[in-house]
Amino acid sequence: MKKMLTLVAVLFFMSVTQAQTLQSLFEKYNDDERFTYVTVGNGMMNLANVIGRHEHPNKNKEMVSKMKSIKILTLEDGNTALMKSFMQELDKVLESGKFETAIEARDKGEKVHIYYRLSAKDNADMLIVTRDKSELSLIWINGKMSKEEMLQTFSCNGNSVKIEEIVS
Amino acid sequence: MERINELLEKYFRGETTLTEENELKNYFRSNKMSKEHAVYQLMFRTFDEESNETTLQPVEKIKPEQKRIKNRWIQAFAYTGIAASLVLALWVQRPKQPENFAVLSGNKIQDTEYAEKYTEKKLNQVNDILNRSMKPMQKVQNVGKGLQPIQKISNIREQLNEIQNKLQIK
Repeated sequence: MKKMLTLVAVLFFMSVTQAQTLQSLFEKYNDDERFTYVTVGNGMMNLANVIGRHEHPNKNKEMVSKMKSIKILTLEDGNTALMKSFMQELDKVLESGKFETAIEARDKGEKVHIYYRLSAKDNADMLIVTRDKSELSLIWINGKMSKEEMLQTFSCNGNSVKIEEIVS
Repeated sequence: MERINELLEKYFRGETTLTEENELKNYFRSNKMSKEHAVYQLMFRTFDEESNETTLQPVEKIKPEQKRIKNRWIQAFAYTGIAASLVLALWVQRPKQPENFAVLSGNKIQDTEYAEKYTEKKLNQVNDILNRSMKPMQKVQNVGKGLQPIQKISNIREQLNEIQNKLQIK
Protein backbone atom coordinates (compact mmCIF):
# COMPACT_ATOMS: atom_id res chain seq x y z
CA MET A 1 0.00 0.00 0.00
CA LYS A 2 2.84 2.34 0.94
CA LYS A 3 4.58 1.57 -2.34
CA MET A 4 1.39 2.31 -4.27
CA LEU A 5 0.96 5.65 -2.54
CA THR A 6 4.60 6.57 -3.22
CA LEU A 7 4.18 5.63 -6.88
CA VAL A 8 1.02 7.72 -7.19
CA ALA A 9 2.75 10.65 -5.50
CA VAL A 10 5.76 10.37 -7.83
CA LEU A 11 3.54 10.21 -10.91
CA PHE A 12 1.54 13.20 -9.70
CA PHE A 13 4.74 15.15 -9.05
CA MET A 14 6.07 14.24 -12.49
CA SER A 15 2.89 15.35 -14.20
CA VAL A 16 2.89 18.66 -12.33
CA THR A 17 6.54 19.43 -13.00
CA GLN A 18 6.42 18.27 -16.63
CA ALA A 19 7.95 20.71 -19.05
CA GLN A 20 5.66 22.92 -21.06
CA THR A 21 4.70 21.38 -24.39
CA LEU A 22 3.79 23.03 -27.66
CA GLN A 23 0.18 22.06 -27.00
CA SER A 24 0.17 23.69 -23.58
CA LEU A 25 1.86 26.81 -24.98
CA PHE A 26 -0.91 27.17 -27.56
CA GLU A 27 -3.55 26.47 -24.91
CA LYS A 28 -2.03 29.10 -22.65
CA TYR A 29 -2.28 31.88 -25.19
CA ASN A 30 -5.17 30.90 -27.48
CA ASP A 31 -7.72 32.69 -25.30
CA ASP A 32 -5.42 35.62 -24.58
CA GLU A 33 -6.92 38.86 -25.87
CA ARG A 34 -3.54 40.05 -27.14
CA PHE A 35 -3.22 37.05 -29.47
CA THR A 36 -5.12 35.90 -32.52
CA TYR A 37 -5.64 32.18 -32.71
CA VAL A 38 -6.80 30.28 -35.77
CA THR A 39 -7.17 26.56 -36.20
CA VAL A 40 -7.99 24.59 -39.33
CA GLY A 41 -8.72 20.89 -39.19
CA ASN A 42 -11.47 20.15 -41.64
CA GLY A 43 -11.50 21.25 -45.23
CA MET A 44 -7.75 21.48 -45.48
CA MET A 45 -8.10 20.66 -49.18
CA ASN A 46 -9.05 24.28 -49.79
CA LEU A 47 -5.49 25.18 -48.83
CA ALA A 48 -3.90 22.76 -51.28
CA ASN A 49 -2.87 25.57 -53.63
CA VAL A 50 -0.96 27.32 -50.83
CA ILE A 51 0.50 24.41 -48.92
CA GLY A 52 1.80 22.08 -51.59
CA ARG A 53 4.05 23.60 -54.20
CA HIS A 54 4.33 20.55 -56.38
CA GLU A 55 4.22 20.81 -60.14
CA HIS A 56 1.43 18.22 -60.12
CA PRO A 57 -1.82 19.27 -58.40
CA ASN A 58 -2.56 15.67 -57.43
CA LYS A 59 0.66 15.54 -55.44
CA ASN A 60 -0.44 18.69 -53.60
CA LYS A 61 -3.75 17.10 -52.67
CA GLU A 62 -1.98 13.95 -51.52
CA MET A 63 0.32 16.00 -49.32
CA VAL A 64 -2.50 18.05 -47.84
CA SER A 65 -4.55 14.93 -47.14
CA LYS A 66 -1.77 13.79 -44.83
CA MET A 67 -2.06 16.90 -42.70
CA LYS A 68 -4.24 16.71 -39.62
CA SER A 69 -4.32 20.28 -38.41
CA ILE A 70 -2.87 23.75 -38.73
CA LYS A 71 -2.85 26.04 -35.72
CA ILE A 72 -1.76 29.65 -35.89
CA LEU A 73 -1.03 31.92 -32.96
CA THR A 74 -0.25 35.55 -33.75
CA LEU A 75 0.79 38.47 -31.60
CA GLU A 76 0.19 41.64 -33.58
CA ASP A 77 0.35 44.64 -31.31
CA GLY A 78 4.13 44.93 -31.21
CA ASN A 79 4.27 44.35 -27.46
CA THR A 80 8.02 43.77 -27.29
CA ALA A 81 8.05 42.71 -23.63
CA LEU A 82 5.39 40.08 -24.24
CA MET A 83 7.09 39.03 -27.47
CA LYS A 84 10.34 38.55 -25.60
CA SER A 85 8.83 36.50 -22.78
CA PHE A 86 6.85 34.46 -25.30
CA MET A 87 10.01 33.72 -27.29
CA GLN A 88 11.73 32.58 -24.09
CA GLU A 89 8.88 30.18 -23.41
CA LEU A 90 8.98 28.98 -27.01
CA ASP A 91 12.72 28.30 -26.81
CA LYS A 92 12.13 26.08 -23.79
CA VAL A 93 9.36 24.23 -25.61
CA LEU A 94 11.57 23.70 -28.65
CA GLU A 95 14.36 22.40 -26.49
CA SER A 96 12.24 20.04 -24.41
CA GLY A 97 10.21 18.97 -27.45
CA LYS A 98 13.38 17.93 -29.29
CA PHE A 99 12.62 20.03 -32.34
CA GLU A 100 15.28 20.27 -35.03
CA THR A 101 15.92 23.39 -37.03
CA ALA A 102 15.17 22.96 -40.71
CA ILE A 103 15.50 26.51 -42.00
CA GLU A 104 16.43 29.91 -40.72
CA ALA A 105 15.79 32.68 -43.21
CA ARG A 106 15.84 36.46 -42.95
CA ASP A 107 14.77 39.15 -45.36
CA LYS A 108 14.52 42.88 -44.59
CA GLY A 109 13.90 42.47 -40.88
CA GLU A 110 11.54 39.55 -41.37
CA LYS A 111 12.70 36.27 -39.93
CA VAL A 112 11.43 32.77 -40.58
CA HIS A 113 12.46 29.77 -38.54
CA ILE A 114 11.18 26.34 -39.46
CA TYR A 115 11.47 23.54 -36.95
CA TYR A 116 10.30 19.96 -37.22
CA ARG A 117 10.21 16.76 -35.24
CA LEU A 118 9.03 13.23 -35.76
CA SER A 119 7.06 12.24 -32.67
CA ALA A 120 5.96 8.78 -33.73
CA LYS A 121 6.07 6.67 -36.87
CA ASP A 122 5.59 9.21 -39.66
CA ASN A 123 3.82 11.57 -37.29
CA ALA A 124 5.47 14.91 -37.77
CA ASP A 125 5.15 18.36 -36.28
CA MET A 126 6.38 21.37 -38.18
CA LEU A 127 6.58 24.68 -36.42
CA ILE A 128 7.07 27.87 -38.40
CA VAL A 129 7.97 31.01 -36.49
CA THR A 130 7.76 34.27 -38.44
CA ARG A 131 8.82 37.45 -36.75
CA ASP A 132 9.27 41.11 -37.56
CA LYS A 133 9.28 44.27 -35.46
CA SER A 134 5.55 44.35 -34.84
CA GLU A 135 4.35 40.79 -35.34
CA LEU A 136 5.10 37.31 -34.19
CA SER A 137 3.39 34.25 -35.64
CA LEU A 138 3.56 30.60 -34.77
CA ILE A 139 2.26 28.16 -37.36
CA TRP A 140 2.01 24.60 -36.16
CA ILE A 141 1.36 21.96 -38.79
CA ASN A 142 0.72 18.42 -37.64
CA GLY A 143 0.43 15.47 -39.96
CA LYS A 144 1.29 11.90 -40.74
CA MET A 145 4.22 12.48 -43.05
CA SER A 146 7.95 12.04 -43.35
CA LYS A 147 10.54 14.76 -42.89
CA GLU A 148 10.92 15.16 -46.66
CA GLU A 149 7.19 15.42 -47.23
CA MET A 150 6.90 18.02 -44.50
CA LEU A 151 9.68 20.14 -45.95
CA GLN A 152 8.11 19.93 -49.40
CA THR A 153 5.30 22.03 -47.97
CA PHE A 154 7.32 25.14 -48.59
CA SER A 155 9.33 24.03 -51.56
CA CYS A 156 8.82 26.40 -54.40
CA ASN A 157 7.94 25.72 -57.99
CA GLY A 158 10.30 24.22 -60.51
CA ASN A 159 12.14 27.47 -61.17
CA SER A 160 12.90 28.14 -57.57
CA VAL A 161 14.69 26.42 -54.72
CA LYS A 162 13.83 22.99 -53.31
CA ILE A 163 14.20 23.30 -49.55
CA GLU A 164 14.27 19.59 -48.86
CA GLU A 165 17.33 19.26 -51.13
CA ILE A 166 19.16 22.03 -49.26
CA VAL A 167 18.33 20.62 -45.83
CA SER A 168 19.25 17.05 -46.69
CA MET B 1 -60.32 -31.15 42.09
CA GLU B 2 -58.90 -28.25 44.02
CA ARG B 3 -55.47 -29.21 42.83
CA ILE B 4 -56.58 -29.03 39.19
CA ASN B 5 -58.28 -25.68 39.79
CA GLU B 6 -55.07 -24.33 41.34
CA LEU B 7 -53.05 -25.66 38.41
CA LEU B 8 -55.43 -24.11 35.90
CA GLU B 9 -55.24 -20.75 37.63
CA LYS B 10 -51.44 -20.96 37.64
CA TYR B 11 -51.52 -22.07 33.96
CA PHE B 12 -53.51 -19.06 32.85
CA ARG B 13 -51.21 -16.79 34.84
CA GLY B 14 -48.30 -18.46 33.06
CA GLU B 15 -46.71 -19.65 36.28
CA THR B 16 -46.86 -23.43 35.81
CA THR B 17 -43.77 -25.59 35.54
CA LEU B 18 -43.34 -28.20 32.80
CA THR B 19 -44.24 -31.00 35.26
CA GLU B 20 -47.41 -29.18 36.28
CA GLU B 21 -48.33 -28.61 32.62
CA ASN B 22 -47.82 -32.30 31.90
CA GLU B 23 -50.00 -33.09 34.91
CA LEU B 24 -52.74 -30.93 33.39
CA LYS B 25 -52.36 -32.52 29.97
CA ASN B 26 -52.56 -36.00 31.43
CA TYR B 27 -55.65 -35.00 33.38
CA PHE B 28 -57.45 -33.74 30.31
CA ARG B 29 -56.40 -36.81 28.26
CA SER B 30 -57.98 -39.11 30.86
CA ASN B 31 -61.71 -39.70 31.08
CA LYS B 32 -61.74 -39.03 34.79
CA MET B 33 -62.12 -35.30 34.58
CA SER B 34 -64.99 -33.51 36.18
CA LYS B 35 -67.73 -31.83 34.17
CA GLU B 36 -66.77 -28.32 35.22
CA HIS B 37 -63.40 -28.82 33.49
CA ALA B 38 -64.89 -30.04 30.23
CA VAL B 39 -64.64 -26.49 28.81
CA TYR B 40 -60.85 -26.68 28.94
CA GLN B 41 -60.60 -30.17 27.48
CA LEU B 42 -60.98 -29.04 23.89
CA MET B 43 -58.25 -26.44 24.33
CA PHE B 44 -55.75 -28.93 25.77
CA ARG B 45 -56.57 -31.54 23.12
CA THR B 46 -55.98 -29.00 20.39
CA PHE B 47 -52.59 -28.17 21.93
CA ASP B 48 -51.81 -31.89 22.01
CA GLU B 49 -52.80 -32.43 18.40
CA GLU B 50 -50.80 -29.45 17.24
CA SER B 51 -47.70 -30.60 19.06
CA ASN B 52 -47.95 -33.99 17.35
CA GLU B 53 -48.68 -32.51 13.94
CA THR B 54 -45.99 -32.96 11.26
CA THR B 55 -45.85 -31.13 7.90
CA LEU B 56 -46.61 -33.16 4.81
CA GLN B 57 -43.83 -31.53 2.78
CA PRO B 58 -40.70 -30.41 4.58
CA VAL B 59 -39.72 -26.79 3.96
CA GLU B 60 -37.16 -26.73 1.24
CA LYS B 61 -33.90 -25.18 2.17
CA ILE B 62 -32.18 -22.79 -0.27
CA LYS B 63 -29.37 -24.85 -1.55
CA PRO B 64 -25.91 -23.26 -1.92
CA GLU B 65 -26.06 -23.93 -5.69
CA GLN B 66 -29.10 -21.70 -5.99
CA LYS B 67 -27.19 -19.01 -4.15
CA ARG B 68 -24.34 -19.37 -6.61
CA ILE B 69 -26.71 -18.95 -9.54
CA LYS B 70 -28.12 -15.84 -7.90
CA ASN B 71 -24.60 -14.46 -7.39
CA ARG B 72 -23.72 -15.14 -11.02
CA TRP B 73 -26.69 -13.12 -12.16
CA ILE B 74 -25.70 -10.25 -9.90
CA GLN B 75 -22.13 -10.43 -11.18
CA ALA B 76 -23.30 -10.51 -14.79
CA PHE B 77 -25.45 -7.42 -14.19
CA ALA B 78 -22.56 -5.66 -12.45
CA TYR B 79 -20.09 -6.42 -15.26
CA THR B 80 -22.59 -5.36 -17.91
CA GLY B 81 -23.10 -2.11 -16.04
CA ILE B 82 -19.36 -1.46 -15.78
CA ALA B 83 -18.84 -2.26 -19.47
CA ALA B 84 -21.73 -0.01 -20.47
CA SER B 85 -20.38 2.90 -18.42
CA LEU B 86 -16.90 2.42 -19.93
CA VAL B 87 -18.31 2.46 -23.46
CA LEU B 88 -20.32 5.55 -22.59
CA ALA B 89 -17.27 7.29 -21.11
CA LEU B 90 -15.18 6.49 -24.19
CA TRP B 91 -17.96 7.65 -26.46
CA VAL B 92 -18.28 10.91 -24.58
CA GLN B 93 -14.53 11.50 -24.44
CA ARG B 94 -13.69 10.31 -27.96
CA PRO B 95 -11.12 12.54 -29.63
CA LYS B 96 -12.90 15.37 -31.29
CA GLN B 97 -12.18 16.27 -34.86
CA PRO B 98 -10.31 19.56 -34.93
CA GLU B 99 -12.74 22.22 -36.02
CA ASN B 100 -12.14 25.40 -37.93
CA PHE B 101 -12.43 28.52 -35.87
CA ALA B 102 -10.65 31.70 -34.87
CA VAL B 103 -10.23 33.46 -31.54
CA LEU B 104 -9.98 37.23 -31.98
CA SER B 105 -9.45 39.38 -28.90
CA GLY B 106 -10.57 36.50 -26.73
CA ASN B 107 -13.82 35.93 -28.69
CA LYS B 108 -14.34 32.65 -30.46
CA ILE B 109 -15.57 33.01 -34.05
CA GLN B 110 -16.91 29.87 -35.70
CA ASP B 111 -16.15 30.95 -39.25
CA THR B 112 -14.51 28.32 -41.43
CA GLU B 113 -13.98 30.68 -44.34
CA TYR B 114 -12.25 33.26 -42.17
CA ALA B 115 -10.03 30.58 -40.58
CA GLU B 116 -9.04 29.24 -44.00
CA LYS B 117 -8.38 32.72 -45.44
CA TYR B 118 -6.28 33.65 -42.42
CA THR B 119 -4.27 30.45 -42.71
CA GLU B 120 -3.80 31.01 -46.43
CA LYS B 121 -2.56 34.56 -45.79
CA LYS B 122 -0.07 33.41 -43.16
CA LEU B 123 1.26 30.56 -45.27
CA ASN B 124 1.65 32.90 -48.23
CA GLN B 125 3.66 35.26 -46.03
CA VAL B 126 6.00 32.42 -45.14
CA ASN B 127 6.29 31.44 -48.81
CA ASP B 128 7.13 35.03 -49.77
CA ILE B 129 9.83 35.44 -47.15
CA LEU B 130 11.34 32.09 -48.07
CA ASN B 131 11.27 32.90 -51.78
CA ARG B 132 12.97 36.23 -51.22
CA SER B 133 15.58 34.97 -48.79
CA MET B 134 16.31 31.86 -50.84
CA LYS B 135 17.00 33.79 -54.07
CA PRO B 136 20.77 33.56 -53.65
CA MET B 137 20.41 29.80 -53.34
CA GLN B 138 18.43 29.81 -56.57
CA LYS B 139 21.32 31.59 -58.23
CA VAL B 140 23.71 28.93 -56.94
CA GLN B 141 21.46 26.27 -58.42
CA ASN B 142 21.40 28.19 -61.72
CA VAL B 143 25.19 28.31 -61.70
CA GLY B 144 25.19 24.57 -61.13
CA LYS B 145 22.93 24.11 -64.14
CA GLY B 146 25.20 26.39 -66.20
CA LEU B 147 28.22 24.31 -65.30
CA GLN B 148 26.62 21.09 -66.51
CA PRO B 149 28.20 21.34 -70.03
CA ILE B 150 31.65 21.56 -68.40
CA GLN B 151 30.89 18.36 -66.54
CA LYS B 152 30.03 16.78 -69.90
CA ILE B 153 33.44 17.84 -71.26
CA SER B 154 35.19 16.15 -68.35
CA ASN B 155 33.15 13.01 -69.01
CA ILE B 156 34.23 13.05 -72.67
CA ARG B 157 37.84 13.45 -71.56
CA GLU B 158 37.54 10.44 -69.27
CA GLN B 159 36.06 8.37 -72.09
CA LEU B 160 38.89 9.44 -74.44
CA ASN B 161 41.45 8.44 -71.83
CA GLU B 162 39.83 5.03 -71.49
CA ILE B 163 39.89 4.50 -75.27
CA GLN B 164 43.52 5.61 -75.40
CA ASN B 165 44.44 3.14 -72.65
CA LYS B 166 42.75 0.30 -74.47
CA LEU B 167 44.56 1.13 -77.69
CA GLN B 168 47.90 1.20 -75.91
CA ILE B 169 47.25 -2.22 -74.42
CA LYS B 170 46.53 -3.66 -77.85
